[in-house]
Amino acid sequence: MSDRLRAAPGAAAPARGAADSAAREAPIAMVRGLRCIHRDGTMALDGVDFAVFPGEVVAIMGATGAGKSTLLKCLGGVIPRLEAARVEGERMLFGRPTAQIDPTELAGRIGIVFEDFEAQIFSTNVALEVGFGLDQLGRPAAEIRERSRIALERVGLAGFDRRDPATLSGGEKQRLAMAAIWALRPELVLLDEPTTDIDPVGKQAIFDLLSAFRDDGSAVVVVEHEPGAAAIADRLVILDAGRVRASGPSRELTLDVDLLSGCGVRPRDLDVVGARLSMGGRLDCPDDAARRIAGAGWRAQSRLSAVSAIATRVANRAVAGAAPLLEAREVRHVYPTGKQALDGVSLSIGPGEFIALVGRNGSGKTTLAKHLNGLLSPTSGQILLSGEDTAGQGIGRIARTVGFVFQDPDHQLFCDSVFEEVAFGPRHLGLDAAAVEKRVGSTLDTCGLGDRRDADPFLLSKGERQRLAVAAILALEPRILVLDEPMTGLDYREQRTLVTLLENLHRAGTTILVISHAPWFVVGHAERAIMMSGGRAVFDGPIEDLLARGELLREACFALPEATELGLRLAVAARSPEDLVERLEQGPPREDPR
Amino acid sequence: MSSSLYLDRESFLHRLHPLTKLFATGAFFVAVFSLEDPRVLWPYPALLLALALTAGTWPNLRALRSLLVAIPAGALLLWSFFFAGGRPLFSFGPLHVSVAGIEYGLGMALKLVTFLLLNVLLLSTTRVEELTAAFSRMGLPYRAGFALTLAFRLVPVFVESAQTVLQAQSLRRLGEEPRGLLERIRRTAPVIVPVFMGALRRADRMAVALDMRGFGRTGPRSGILELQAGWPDALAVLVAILAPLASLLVRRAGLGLVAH
Repeated sequence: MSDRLRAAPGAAAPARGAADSAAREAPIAMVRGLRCIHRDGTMALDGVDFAVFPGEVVAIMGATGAGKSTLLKCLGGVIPRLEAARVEGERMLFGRPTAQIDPTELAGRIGIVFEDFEAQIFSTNVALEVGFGLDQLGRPAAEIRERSRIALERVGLAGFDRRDPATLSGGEKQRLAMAAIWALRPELVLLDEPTTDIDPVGKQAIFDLLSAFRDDGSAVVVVEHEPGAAAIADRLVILDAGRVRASGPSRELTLDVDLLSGCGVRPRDLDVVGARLSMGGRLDCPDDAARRIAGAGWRAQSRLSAVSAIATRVANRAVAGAAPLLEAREVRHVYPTGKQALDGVSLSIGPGEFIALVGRNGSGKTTLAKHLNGLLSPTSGQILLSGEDTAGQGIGRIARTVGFVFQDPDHQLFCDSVFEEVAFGPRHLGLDAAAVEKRVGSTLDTCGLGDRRDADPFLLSKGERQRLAVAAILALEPRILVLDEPMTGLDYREQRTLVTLLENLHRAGTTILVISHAPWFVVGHAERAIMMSGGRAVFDGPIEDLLARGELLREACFALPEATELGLRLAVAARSPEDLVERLEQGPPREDPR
Repeated sequence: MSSSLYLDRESFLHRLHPLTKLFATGAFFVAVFSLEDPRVLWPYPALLLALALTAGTWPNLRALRSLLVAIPAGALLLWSFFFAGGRPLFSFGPLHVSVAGIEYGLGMALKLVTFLLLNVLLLSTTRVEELTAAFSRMGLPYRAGFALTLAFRLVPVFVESAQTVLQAQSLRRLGEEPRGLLERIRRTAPVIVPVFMGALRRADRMAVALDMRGFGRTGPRSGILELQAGWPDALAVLVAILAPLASLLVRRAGLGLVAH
């Protein structure tokens, strides 16, 4: 990557497409020499220059703690007006110094979706939530209805008008928060990880929405860990420890995969493949990539079919022929509201399996997982743990075998120190002090938290809190570990650390079941997938079988990782970009691969 | 799942203007407040129960059944023992139970049931947004009305958050339930920390979200709910006026009180 890109100040003008004409306009939001020091003394931003122009999408990426959210809040004036912090440097919004703008002037001009989007939802039905802003602005009721209808359609929530937001799944709530912003058509859109809880296809819909904002002339700044956001952004700004590490046209900057990885940003699969194969230039999509890679003479090392090859690669550690640990038999669950969340789910989980539970938002994944550990009871049907019906067993007995890690670690951490947090469970097992000490020590080491034993859990990073939540459950030594969306909100480094932890646990014999929307994780690490749709398990089998079920994948809004898609086109079984590159060999260049 | 009381139905009560419902709630409150005798009190909760059933609020009544039974039962027990006066039927030490005491206790029980039913009916058939709009119509500034109804918006959220925290903690203490009141209180402390932290963070975020969506703006709102009063409202107001009037007439006739 050229030095120009790495050293370029963030305030550089937009680079391409719609942004070209925008370059002549004044920035919608701009900061220069921005320093922000939080109340606890942490320097979150240290001399940042940044600007965003009308009709431009800028992605801000970087590791957790790099200052991304702080920059977003400073741009919108949330810091220091609503969130106290010491701010120095020049800040301009809509052509005026931010500090001089009356907050009421900003109504409807800035749209913000925060990482914890649930806090932004306060209405009793979806239509009222989307229409709230327009109502405040005094728009006519007919216009509110029309704009709300379009907004809900755009985010895939058409027909949800009368649903109580509290009954929506996490991903649906996130779409709702986006719809509420879309309806207002603000000039500046600030999004802090707007797709964390959304299924892969839904994520793409949100990214498409960003393009639509741009086409409408809005300026969009999006903080994301997802490479998809960088793919649609005009410009990418990489923050590292409060400073702009690199800034430039997204299409060029994303090619520097080592820079991205080094800054805690997961690069696009195709960019990794392109870089490793020295393809030069960007591989836009799997079709384009397959054509160019094959054209350059790269081909599969073996002629195994893409699908069957994966099977040989995966060492299935499930104990063959062993009795199932956990079984669901025709499980139905109807919530008191009358909503049927599970509709006759039957499955069997054996010792030593690594299973991914996938499916679109609201398909019943979390409801199913909560049945496996006794938090919910079937309306009809049975859950069997080691062959014994869990009905009447009590949550405590089940929890000794099935550990459950909630999606939000903050829901499960409540002690004063990391040590106490992990010791809580073992003490309830009746272990003596020495045994508790030993078990906590080894669990913390396993989870990479050995040096944080005296730290306050609330002062840990999100990734550390997530690992602590896992440690707190692991200390009970469950045979099955169920995790609900554990990758949510973690940066690339933290995700890799957590994946390594799960793989180590799996190797040590723990059965793992993970609810996940992350295709790279599901395809790259699980051995078996259970796909939910409309409260039913519509697929249950090895990952390699899932890859061949295109229609089912689309129905469940699951997208294969780019590397796997590319692999299928090159007749190579690939679970990750590295995997794909390893399985290619170069021969003489060809004209047309197909 | 939802933990708010509102039930989205198409009943007569749901369609009433929220001001009508607030007025009727107040009128029924006044009507039963001035009566003591269960012989004249029973028609009020009976009417409300019938309304509650026709309005499809049965799921809420079912969910709150323990409250609907325990509170009046407690009142009956308490007032039967502590009612001063009347001829004792039987005694427990210094405590005497008289016919008048039982009557008074029954009356109090019916009053409390009426109050509970009034609240369940109002909150099951009226959206929080409708209440905010009604307060605005009553002349309260929009922001004050919104703040008044904020509790209805947030309490369910906190209840849900507390439920998740309790579930998580219950799993980690292996289902072991606390023994005794002190232990129970001690155990609530760890729940308070995450729920309170979450509440603070949420309040912060909500303030920003409200601001950005025009909440702080002065000037009229468009009234997205398009609330309009019609003849059913006139009928409801008439019934609501008749309720305290009937109580007044009963009192004038020298009825409605329990002889002390």
